[in-house]
Amino acid sequence: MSNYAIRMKQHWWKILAVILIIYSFGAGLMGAVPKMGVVRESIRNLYYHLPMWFTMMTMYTISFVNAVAYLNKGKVSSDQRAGNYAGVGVFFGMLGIFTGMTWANFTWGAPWSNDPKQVGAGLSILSYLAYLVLRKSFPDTEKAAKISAVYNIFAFAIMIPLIYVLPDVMGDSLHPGAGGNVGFSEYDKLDHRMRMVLYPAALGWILIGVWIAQLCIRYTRIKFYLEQKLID
Amino acid sequence: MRNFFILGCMFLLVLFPKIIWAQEKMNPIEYKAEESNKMFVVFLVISVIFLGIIIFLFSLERKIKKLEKINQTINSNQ
Repeated sequence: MSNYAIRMKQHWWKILAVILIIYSFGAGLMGAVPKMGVVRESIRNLYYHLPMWFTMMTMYTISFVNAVAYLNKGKVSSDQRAGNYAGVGVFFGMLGIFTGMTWANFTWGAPWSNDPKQVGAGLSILSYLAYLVLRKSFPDTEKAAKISAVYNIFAFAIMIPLIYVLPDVMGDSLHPGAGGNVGFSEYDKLDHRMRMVLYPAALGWILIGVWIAQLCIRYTRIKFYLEQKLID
Repeated sequence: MRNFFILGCMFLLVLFPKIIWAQEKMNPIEYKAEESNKMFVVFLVISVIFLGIIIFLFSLERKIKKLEKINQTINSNQ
């Protein structure tokens, strides 16, 4: 197998992610969208705001699975994966908050209006930031890994009701699809043209998230081995 | 060579999203956005910034690979 073919085999999914995201930029900005009252052309932000949450959720789920795996088997690699995926999840969560605030400024009149979903998303990001601080706050790495794995499970369990259950229960959310409001899927029922951009964009950003997390994990691994050698 | 051709075709599709919606009727607001070409400029600028980030990620990957190789040689020497 040639050198080029080997490289293509290793990197095809990264190239796919780049193509999907550039496609979402083009189709998202220049493609046709359904016309809705207050939202108007800002509905295009759906292609850039929602994929950030999809990516964040994927990162947190992988982190949660690795935290459980660490508690089961005690492998250091699981703990490293859990920490790095949570970090990348927080990064995408913040991107989600910022893209949402920009959108809210145009449609709701203010970037932050104490919407239950906004508050829930903010709280869940804060809980994961606390997790990242907790990981660094113990001198004993094994103890830190165990306690932070337990906290990771707690943070994941708290995040689901904060973002998905509470806004529906409270009933006064401004978000589409929450608190009795009609979701965007209702307006895209006829031709699914928004889905043709949204899903590729989400897949592209998830792949980019996994790529960033992998780079972080590989770096953490090198750092860990070098630290171990220094201790020995 | 074939992979390059496939990638080239995909990029062409990406660069010309109108091909995908060629049969669609557009409303006047969209016509204005399309005619001014401003959206295309925005698209180009975002794409260039995004490609810059991707190049940075690839360069990071190369650096990490080098570090991993150094780490491996240290391990095998010991």
